[in-house]
Amino acid sequence: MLVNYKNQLFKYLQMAVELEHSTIPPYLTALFTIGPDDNMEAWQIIRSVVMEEMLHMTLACNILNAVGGSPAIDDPRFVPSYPVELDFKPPKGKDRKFEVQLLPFSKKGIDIFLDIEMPKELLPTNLMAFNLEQVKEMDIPGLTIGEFYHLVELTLEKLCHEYGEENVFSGDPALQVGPEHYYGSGGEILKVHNLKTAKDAMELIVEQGEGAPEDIWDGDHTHFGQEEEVAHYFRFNEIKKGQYYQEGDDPKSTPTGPKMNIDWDAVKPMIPNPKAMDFPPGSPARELATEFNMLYSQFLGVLHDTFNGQPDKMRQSVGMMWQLKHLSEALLNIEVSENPRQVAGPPFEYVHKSLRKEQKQPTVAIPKAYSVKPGAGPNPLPTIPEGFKLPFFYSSLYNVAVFYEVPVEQVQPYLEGTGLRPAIFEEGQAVVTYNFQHYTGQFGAGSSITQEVELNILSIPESLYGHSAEVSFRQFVLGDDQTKVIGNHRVWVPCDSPLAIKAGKELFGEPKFLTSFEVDMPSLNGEGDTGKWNFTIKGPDDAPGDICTVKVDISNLEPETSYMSPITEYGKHQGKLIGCRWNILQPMPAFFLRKNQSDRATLTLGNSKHPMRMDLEKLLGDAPPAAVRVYASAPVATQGRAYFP
Amino acid sequence: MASSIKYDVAIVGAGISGSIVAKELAKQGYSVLVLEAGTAKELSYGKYRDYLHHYYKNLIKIPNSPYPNNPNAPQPLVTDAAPIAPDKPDTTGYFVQKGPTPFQSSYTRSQGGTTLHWLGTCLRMLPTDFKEKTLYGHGRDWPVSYREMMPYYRMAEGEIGVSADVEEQQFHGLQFEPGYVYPMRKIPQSYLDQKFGSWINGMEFKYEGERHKVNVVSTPQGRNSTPNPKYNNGEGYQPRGAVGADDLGQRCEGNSACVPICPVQAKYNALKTLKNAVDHGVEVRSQCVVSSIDWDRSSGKVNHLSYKRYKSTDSAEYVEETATASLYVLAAHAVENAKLMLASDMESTSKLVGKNLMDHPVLLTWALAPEAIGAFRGPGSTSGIPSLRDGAFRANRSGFRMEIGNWGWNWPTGAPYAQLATAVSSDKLFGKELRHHMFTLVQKMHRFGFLIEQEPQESNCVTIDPKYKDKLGNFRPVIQYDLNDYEKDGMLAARELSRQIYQKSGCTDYTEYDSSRPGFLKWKGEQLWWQGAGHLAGTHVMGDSKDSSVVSPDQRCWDYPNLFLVGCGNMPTVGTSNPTLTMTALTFKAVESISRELKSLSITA
Repeated sequence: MLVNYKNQLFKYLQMAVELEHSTIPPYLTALFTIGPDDNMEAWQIIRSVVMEEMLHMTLACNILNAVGGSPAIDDPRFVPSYPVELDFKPPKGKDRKFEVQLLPFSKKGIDIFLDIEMPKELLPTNLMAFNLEQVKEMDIPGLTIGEFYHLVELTLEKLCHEYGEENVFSGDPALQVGPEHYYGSGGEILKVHNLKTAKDAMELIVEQGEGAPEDIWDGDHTHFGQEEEVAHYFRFNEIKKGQYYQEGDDPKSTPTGPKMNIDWDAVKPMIPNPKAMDFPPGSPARELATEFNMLYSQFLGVLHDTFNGQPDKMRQSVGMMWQLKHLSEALLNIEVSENPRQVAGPPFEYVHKSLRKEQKQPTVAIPKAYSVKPGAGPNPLPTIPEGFKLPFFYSSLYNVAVFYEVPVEQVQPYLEGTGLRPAIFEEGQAVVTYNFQHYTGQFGAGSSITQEVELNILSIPESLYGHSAEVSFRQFVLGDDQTKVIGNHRVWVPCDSPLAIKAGKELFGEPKFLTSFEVDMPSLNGEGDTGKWNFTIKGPDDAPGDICTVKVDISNLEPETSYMSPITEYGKHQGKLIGCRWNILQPMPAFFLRKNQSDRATLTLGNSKHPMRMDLEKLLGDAPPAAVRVYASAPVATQGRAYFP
Repeated sequence: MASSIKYDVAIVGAGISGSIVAKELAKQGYSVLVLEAGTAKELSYGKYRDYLHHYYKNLIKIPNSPYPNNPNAPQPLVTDAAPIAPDKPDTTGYFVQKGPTPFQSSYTRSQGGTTLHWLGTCLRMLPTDFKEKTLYGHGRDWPVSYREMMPYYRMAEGEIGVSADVEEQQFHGLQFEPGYVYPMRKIPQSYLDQKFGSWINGMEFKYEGERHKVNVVSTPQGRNSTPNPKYNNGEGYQPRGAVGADDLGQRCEGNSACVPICPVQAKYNALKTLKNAVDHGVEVRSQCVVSSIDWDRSSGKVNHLSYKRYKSTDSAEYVEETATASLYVLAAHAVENAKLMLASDMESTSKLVGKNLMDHPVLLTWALAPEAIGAFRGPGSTSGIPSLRDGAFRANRSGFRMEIGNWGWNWPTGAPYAQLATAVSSDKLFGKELRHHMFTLVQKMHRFGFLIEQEPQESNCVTIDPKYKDKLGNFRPVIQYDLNDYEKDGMLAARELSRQIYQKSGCTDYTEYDSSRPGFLKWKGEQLWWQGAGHLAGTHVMGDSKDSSVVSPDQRCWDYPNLFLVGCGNMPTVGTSNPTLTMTALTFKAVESISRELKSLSITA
């Protein structure tokens, strides 16, 4: 049955993936223990080999995926515990066994690397062709990596012959990782979808590792037009002998090319086969080693995803490899024993998924005190445009505000893209409010009177969500949100002073426009305190007529004391959300209107074509007024009635 | 004796243009000699590692910091420039600067030339850039059109190994042959590019009654990325890694050090082409500074090159030798080519040798983004905003290309080191608080660079003066340089565009120009500050007539029939693109004419 043979094949190919991976930690360890100024040639050689081992692991995964298997990479069985014994088993005769260790760059280490990459021709005995049935599952069949792949190849051929190529190569092509997913070194990632491409991939692995048959050179120059390069075994032998191969050398001869300088002592003296547990709990070496293992295991998780349907994740793994390198370098700088001097190193241990934290975001330390001096952080004071001075002092202020509770949908479109969200009160309602202001600005050259109306939506900055006090509408109007996070987003600000319009626009980005008002409000100098606040917003010159007329009558209503000031006003400055506080320096009477009191505050829309008129209609709908708040600043001086002295 | 051999071609300079000419002609079988003023002799990875170590150890990380100064072949440094007092030339650096404005760009005198420290931007010039005089009444027209340049652009993109997606590059009338793809897919745009794109794409820049749609577009780069399997009719492309260590640098690794030196050579440098040239049998002689060209006064033909071969950089000891060839090519750099011709008394009929010196003055603006945008990651720049490169406004003011920097405020302020120094020495921050401070600040840093097109003007020029010579007795370039109103008006528009973009994106503008630094100026009430881009061009301009140009469209000197000039010096205008790609394309065009000339002289390979 094909399915049974396939299971056998999956096991071999999974073993291939594991075998390729198992070479990477020892090669990387040797690489990292070479200092930046030392053994440049050896560094270059080991680096080139380790990159190609990563390619081999990718190719083995592609073959496994092509035949319908799935590589298991994020798995405790995937990661060897170094030192690990590699046991190459021929069908007959003696095993070839040796121990692979994590060692600093050293002669002993290079000898192990030579054992790993050993070509068949250099083995003392010649061997018979394989017989599938004779091979045990758990050990590596064949005496060399090349022979092992040869066995896989024979198996594939046999199965294709018996069951048809398309039944053997039944894997989903979308699982293949290709050159578009990042690789840049010797050879090239090949996608596998039939017997030929599978054989090409295995030939690439074997030639890069052991050389083309009877040859020291790998096939990259012939296949990919890359520079001439000897195979891994011979590259390591160059290091061992301190001499490069050259044209004409053969596998059995020693290299005869240019000499290379090797300084076996210029190495970071890492303890062999480091484990996180070797280092005392709480020590920097322990912490870094643990972090390394955690990241390494997360990295295997990302690779697992890469080879199981998400090839784009390869890019993410590249960044993680850099992180692993930096952590390794940090570990190799930690001395763990003085005499002989030894340093820590990367342990490459597997951490089970359940024990892993999510990949750590860079930690931000919380300082003991916060510097607020100018330039200390990214939050400078907003600039003040030329010609303005802040704060602005009001020498008198008359103000009447009306509040409406409206459905949230009515206000939402007005807040899109502002960085603000509507404040929602207890019944799920948003609040629209407008207020009329009549104020005096006192300057050196005299005073000016300004009148304006703000049409506002009560809102909260997105960045401050959760920072406001939780208050009811009533509490808000009375002033209980002392966080002052809930503030006014200004939809329109008609105003009759060009200077105030310029200030509003340049300082706060207010949507301000020039127009005029008709006003009738209570005044101590008027007809006594009538309690009637009436104003009409006239349309500007280009949209004549009235925008609206508001009539407020609070006579005989019971006032409650509001301490709403300071009132938060939001706006835009230099493209950013900006906040400001409007301070009214006394308590203000507020009046909550019952349903049957809606005639105490009426708004009649006029016939101006100005968009504010339409927005008033949209924002208020048929909502009745919910509250009124008024303020008239106290006179600062009086001149009394005359008398006869 | 070197002088006894007659080569088919002798080339001065082993930078990108010299290496291309050498390699292409050697491939055709011609004997080629390259004379190089710099010290590097071997094309090995070890030599390159020396540059890296020099860079690591140098405290000031300017573009020439990895490439040691050599008194026998001195090179300008960007740190040389200082404000110039009237009538008192500034002689601090290699250049003698007569002003009125200090010229602020540098180049590298070594094997590989200035491509050792270039950023790798590979934008084509726009079709309109080739006929600016006709269209806008400014600059000069080229004697070739964009259409005629297209095949050479293709060769240049193949030689350098450019990464870009062709469908994103078709703006302002830029066309490509149907089915053309760049050798490699585009370098992924940085997170910061993507953020800016999401904030501002589609916004309108309003200026003087004009409206320009603004979009962030990925920039073609001479930097290894994923090869495009469709390249070259499905043949694909094999990325070239480091010289002497080919498996290194086959992909950009995001080391974020492109300028002044890519540690893995994923970024193209001319050593790659030079290595190829040497493999094809080109002879490169280093430490040979050509000091004069010997020529026949009646025929105008060059007889030989005289050069000074020095023993070491420690002494000014040298021997004089000559080199003889059938054809000569000056590829020493826009300034050095002009200088060498002037030193050899080789004026041209047009009197334009050394004139029309151009650069791209770069206006920098910087800001803090409203959130962390991952500054200091990836290549120096992966995107730009091409919207203002062309338009009817070029009748009134310069166009410009807007580059989006990936390395925060590094260029204008020396970030992050400068901010770190301030935090430690002035704010007395240390430990966790210091880390927190830097972490929040640095991640939000953002910079724009506006490369303002400079017009060719005869008053901006390279001359020589016997008063000013270097250690070997060779002339030092004397530079006169200024910006005109057209360029300054372009700069004003650039400053306003930066403001509108900051407004739209919610960035806080931190641009502040120091009036004591070179390049500071006030124009129409606005403070401005520009830097050099290292895009030196125009000093031996190409044109259709002997009276108005130094070289013909074949890039042969009108007045000296066996002398060819290559490099940015031939460019009549610089447009709004970094010039290397266009210069490389022109060089491939020159190779065709040199090869034709060799054949017509019955010189067979």
